[in-house]
Amino acid sequence: MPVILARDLHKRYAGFDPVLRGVDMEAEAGEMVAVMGPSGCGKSTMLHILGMLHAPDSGRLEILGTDVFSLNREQTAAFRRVNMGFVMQSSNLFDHSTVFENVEFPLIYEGIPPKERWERVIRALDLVRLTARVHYRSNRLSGGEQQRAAIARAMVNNPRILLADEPTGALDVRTSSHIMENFRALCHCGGVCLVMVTHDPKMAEYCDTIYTLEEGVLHCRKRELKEIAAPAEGWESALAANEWSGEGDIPPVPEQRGILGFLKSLLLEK
Amino acid sequence: MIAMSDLFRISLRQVVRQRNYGVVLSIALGITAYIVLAVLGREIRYKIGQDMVLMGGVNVINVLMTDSQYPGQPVREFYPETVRAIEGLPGVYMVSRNIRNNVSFNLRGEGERSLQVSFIGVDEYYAETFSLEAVAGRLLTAEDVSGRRRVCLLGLDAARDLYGGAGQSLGKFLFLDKEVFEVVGVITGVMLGSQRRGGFLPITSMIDRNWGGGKVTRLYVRATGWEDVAGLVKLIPDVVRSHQAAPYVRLETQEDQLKRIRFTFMWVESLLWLGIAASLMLGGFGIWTGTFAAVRARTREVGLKKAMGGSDADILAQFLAEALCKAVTGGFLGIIVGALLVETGAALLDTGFSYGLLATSSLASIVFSAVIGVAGGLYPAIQASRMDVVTALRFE
Ligand SMILES: Nc1ncnc2c1ncn2[C@@H]1O[C@H](COP(=O)(O)OP(=O)(O)O)[C@@H](O)[C@H]1O
Ligand SMILES: [Mg+2]
Repeated sequence: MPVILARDLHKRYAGFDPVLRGVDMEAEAGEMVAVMGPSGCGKSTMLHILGMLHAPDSGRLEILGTDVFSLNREQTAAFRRVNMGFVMQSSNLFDHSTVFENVEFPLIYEGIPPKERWERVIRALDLVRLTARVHYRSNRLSGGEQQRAAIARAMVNNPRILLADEPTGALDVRTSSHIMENFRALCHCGGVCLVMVTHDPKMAEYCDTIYTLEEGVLHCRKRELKEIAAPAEGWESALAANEWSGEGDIPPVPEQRGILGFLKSLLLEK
Repeated sequence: MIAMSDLFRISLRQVVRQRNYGVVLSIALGITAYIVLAVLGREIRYKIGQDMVLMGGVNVINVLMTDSQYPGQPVREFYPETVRAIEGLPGVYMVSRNIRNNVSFNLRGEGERSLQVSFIGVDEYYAETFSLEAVAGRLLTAEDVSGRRRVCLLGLDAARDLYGGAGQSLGKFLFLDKEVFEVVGVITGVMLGSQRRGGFLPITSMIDRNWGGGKVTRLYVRATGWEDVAGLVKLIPDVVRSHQAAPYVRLETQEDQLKRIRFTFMWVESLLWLGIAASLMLGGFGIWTGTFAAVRARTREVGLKKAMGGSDADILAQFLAEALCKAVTGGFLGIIVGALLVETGAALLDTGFSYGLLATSSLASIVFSAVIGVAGGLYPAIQASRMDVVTALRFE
């Protein structure tokens, strides 16, 4: 069963020409999908529809077997919370917050008890080799580190689908390829389905499937599906087995619980 | 829905890190003023009032028997029961009995000095009723009055004119109508007026000698505060008449002064409350604009949070909680400063204050500031929660 099944999606902004004129797409667990196309052709619009942030004018979208357009606002948010992670082109992180606080956020929404959060955050950061920066304020990170933190945040909830809108658009080639390696590990070892918008052919080459969006319709350029045993528990267990581990020492859990710890964290973090 | 503990932890963190203290301070200011006024208002009003009011004698009511002005009427006096009944009225601080007519004697002073001095009959409450003090010796006591003693007080000017000073006149003997009276004290005070040149005898001693008519024909009723005067003026005639025949009892107050003081106080007080309201409104307005600004500045954050699965309620709760944190932090700050001010204020004014009142007004302050936070933050927070995700995400 495909993770994402989109059929005949149409979208036009009122008063403008149609942007999407019948998009069809299928994506399996563990598949890396790249969507290419010139600027302004509707790639972001399509990704937003796949992420249920936008409703299309017509068409059908099944995600993990659920007809997602039948969900109401509240259910949509809950569905997104559990199944999806987003990475945007830039400005992904919250101001005035540390890396930990950023990555912790989806766990808060999901109602994970505070005790379990630290370990999950560290594991997600380990995935993008950013554990050493866990207490940095987001504005002190480099662009690449910010994107990696955003990926960690998108993955911390153990989602089955990762949607990325030009995640490497603001980065240099070296950092970009580093991030693509991260994505590949996630998908091929963890069974995550990635849909990534890019206009960079080099980045698209990392992917199993490449579509181009032309005239509001998706054209398939390449599709080489690998056999992936997608683990039901998600990427964490798969990656753990695959000994894909971060660099540097994992910092110990800072005991910042309780009122005192909280006050300390307020005062000390700059 | 996001857990409450997380919500407030994150909101408090945001408030601290944004360093948006103007709003907090303005609410704190309003709450401080409110607490001080609510707890100490009465005491402050009384204290400030006392000086002002006593100088004008505004809270002293003269109750007179005016029978002597009506030919053929017997001269009536106030009975002790009447005096006790008036003393029992709410708002009456004390009642001092007095003989309206004075009696004059030619007195020999030091050397060849001689002076016409007029004496009035008073009781032991006279001095306190008019806030007089003894510059030398003592005031009249209850024993002087009940013992019908031959003692007297002199006004400060009379003492100076006769003996050259207050201290020198103590223990001097005055010959009043061939009887000897000892000077036991010299008194003065702002409200004494021309009687500073006169003398004071126990009413009983005057009654015994039938001086000045020998009857208690006047009561000085000192009200607790000037606000009590108007009510007492209405009550007293009926109280008098229900205890004795008094067809020509008349009341005199300092009507003009009273009006002026009432007016001044109304102004002062309304200005104070206006200040409190303004500062609280300023805080509420600050929260309103502050939350709007926060929503606008963090539009992208809203988009990101919605994209990661935050529901409308989560977003609403977050901005509302931040507004609430700011307001309630201001409230707490205001309570602390307010309580300190109340403590020092009470010490300065030399009065006590009610801890119960402080507790209730603190509680009210917390509720106040929470209401301000919600009222100021609700609309912008709703706007944020309704925001379209994609619009928010495309916002730079
Ligand atoms: N809210 C909107 N109203 C009208 N037009 C829009 C809106 N959002 C995007 N568009 C238009 O839709 C087209 C596709 O936009 P977008 O999906 O962002 O393209 P891409 O991501 O491929 O650059 C563009 O021409 C853009 O101007
Ligand atoms: Mg785009």
